[in-house]
Amino acid sequence: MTRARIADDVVARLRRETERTAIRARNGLRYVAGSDWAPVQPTPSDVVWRQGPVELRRYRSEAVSFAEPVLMFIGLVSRSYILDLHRDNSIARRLRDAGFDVYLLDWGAPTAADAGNTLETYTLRLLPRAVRAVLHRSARERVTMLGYCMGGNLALLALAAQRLPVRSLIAMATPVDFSALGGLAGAIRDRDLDPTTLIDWTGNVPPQHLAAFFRIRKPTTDIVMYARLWENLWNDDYVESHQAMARWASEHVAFPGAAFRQVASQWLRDNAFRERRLRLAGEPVDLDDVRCPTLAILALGDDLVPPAAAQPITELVGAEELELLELEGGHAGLTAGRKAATTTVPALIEWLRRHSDPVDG
Amino acid sequence: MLGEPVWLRAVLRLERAVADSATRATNSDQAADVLMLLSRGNRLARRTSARARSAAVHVLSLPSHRDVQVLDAKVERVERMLDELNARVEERDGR
Repeated sequence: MTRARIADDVVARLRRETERTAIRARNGLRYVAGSDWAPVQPTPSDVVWRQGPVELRRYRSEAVSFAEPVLMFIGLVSRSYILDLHRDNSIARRLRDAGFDVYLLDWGAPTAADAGNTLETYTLRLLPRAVRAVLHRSARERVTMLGYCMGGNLALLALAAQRLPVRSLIAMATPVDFSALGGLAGAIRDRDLDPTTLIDWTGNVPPQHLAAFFRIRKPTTDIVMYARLWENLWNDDYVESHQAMARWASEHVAFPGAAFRQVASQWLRDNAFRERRLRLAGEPVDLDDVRCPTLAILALGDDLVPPAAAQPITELVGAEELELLELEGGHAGLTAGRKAATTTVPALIEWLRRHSDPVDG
Repeated sequence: MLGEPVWLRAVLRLERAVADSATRATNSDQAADVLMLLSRGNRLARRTSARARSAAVHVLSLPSHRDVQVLDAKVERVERMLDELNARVEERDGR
């Protein structure tokens, strides 16, 4: 390379960096001022059923090719829009575009009025009602359930405890061996910490406690996140996907106190999923009664629900047709990262196609 | 990554260097104890402050913020009960 070309190259790079720094400053100000790059739940949908803070959305679609609607939901500590996070990275949108009739159930943000909600409230009352609402809306006979993280636990409990018209189940990053969990779960389990110390006057575990525990799990993550944000602040697409993810990660909801006590005592201390000691409404619940075709997906790099916590699902569920998919990536990345778009979602769609009936005519 | 500027690579290297020990420290038993202690302290401070503010406002025979919150929660609880009753009636009627 000649000196002149090197000089040209340096000047070009300097010019590019100067332009980018100007855009960074502008975007930085907009970001700090709270501008919205990424709309919440970008895929068009309508609320079709609600009870209290619980809301069921149906994604608008003109081309449903499969008979079984897909009902998706997550656990009780975050919002379900992780499954419809970003226009380029939305499981809901990809499933809809693949011909599925997609519903998203959000448990909402519990208030003091919901402090008495137990696991029974969610698995024996609200979830079956949501299933009925889906079937009624879609005029179908069976649904496919997709539970992410603790949503998978709720789905397993609901399916083991009662007969629900469910064609197949997908449990993503769902822990069943709670002895393998660290962080807050580990502290409550191993240190015999009294879970009631985390409950505030509303009777719930406040979201800021949950956020703090998630943050200290990996305290240096924010450094990397903000460094990468600064570097890419000139890029509107990057800022948009960053904002979508950062907003979801920081938006926790209160955990109903009654359900939290049950989770602490049964799931964490008794390791009731793994030890087959689950109970709902005083009755034993056996995961062996989950008989519908089941797909379990875990992320090999998941530090929140490590593979060791999710893998034993294959030994516990009674389904004859049970598949375990082990994918690269981390916990949130399983549903919302670039990996999700290229690995999780195609695998999900392929399995769903095999386990759904085509629409007649 | 090749395209990353020097400063970013330095930050990432630094983060990798401290991440393990920082994670170990914040996930240790001591950290859990400190968090629980902070949580308890925070709860106590909030409760004490709310009580003091309520007492001050009650002197003027006015409802405090907490009184309103508690009343609000009670109303919401009644709403939830009505929702639940409504859902049960719909279920009974096969709707």
